[in-house]
Amino acid sequence: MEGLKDTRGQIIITMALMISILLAGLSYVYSQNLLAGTETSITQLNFPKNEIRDLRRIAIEELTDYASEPSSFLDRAKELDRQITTLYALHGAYASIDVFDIKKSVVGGQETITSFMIRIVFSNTEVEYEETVLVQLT
Amino acid sequence: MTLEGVIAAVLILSVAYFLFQSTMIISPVSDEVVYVQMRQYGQDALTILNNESGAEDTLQYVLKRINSTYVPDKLLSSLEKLLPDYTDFNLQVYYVNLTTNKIEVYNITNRIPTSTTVTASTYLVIRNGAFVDDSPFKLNSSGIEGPNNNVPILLEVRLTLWRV
Repeated sequence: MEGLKDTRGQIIITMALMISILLAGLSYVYSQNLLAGTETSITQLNFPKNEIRDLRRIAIEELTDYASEPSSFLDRAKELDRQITTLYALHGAYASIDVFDIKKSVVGGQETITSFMIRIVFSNTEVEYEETVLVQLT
Repeated sequence: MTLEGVIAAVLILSVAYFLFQSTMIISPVSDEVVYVQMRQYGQDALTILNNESGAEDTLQYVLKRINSTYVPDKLLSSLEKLLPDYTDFNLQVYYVNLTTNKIEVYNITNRIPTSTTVTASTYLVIRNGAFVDDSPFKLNSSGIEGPNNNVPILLEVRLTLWRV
């Protein structure tokens, strides 16, 4: 005790305080890093990118196949819409495809669909997506 | 040993102790990142296999032919190749039974998962007439062949993944 002056003792205490503040600061940065990583992962897991992509593909590409039979086209679209709504509800989402404004032309006594509009709706707790597409067939 | 030294040591140790005890440090760590990656693998595999090429390992080919006896070996082996070695999977098909209006599940594989799984899904539309006669997805309600053949049937193929 005799060899140690008061000032040196104060330096030890001050250094300890600085190390403590440094530790706390580092752990804060570290935990923020973890939280950011976790948040990003959860967002990526929940974001319905593929669900919306599949919905658009069904509405625009797959449904177009049925346009070659104009008399039953609307029924087929409604049938598909009903199944889409039911199956998407399994994932806690609302989805629908709504066909309207079907334009037809009669060539040589044969009725064909020339274009139609589709409203695509997807909604869950995080994302609201709505799009209206004009599908031109000829 | 000095009094200041002891106080300094106690200060640093107590700060370190409280930090490691705090909820700040014990937050859910890196598991989610692995699940994101697994789900992405699953989604990619399904996207690759969901095509109209007519190859025997595509979802379209398999789902049109599936019945109680058909085993989609090629699809399952392609899935095993596409997914990383540390995962196992179940493949299920969800569909709306148009006769009863209820959601039904057809299990292509029936393995036992662990408690933590992730799922990836893809959707495809197949005409009723394209299914084999004893297909679980086929709509046979009215008995009239013609109109029923063109009814679109929506199938959700769900891939459940877990680490082994």
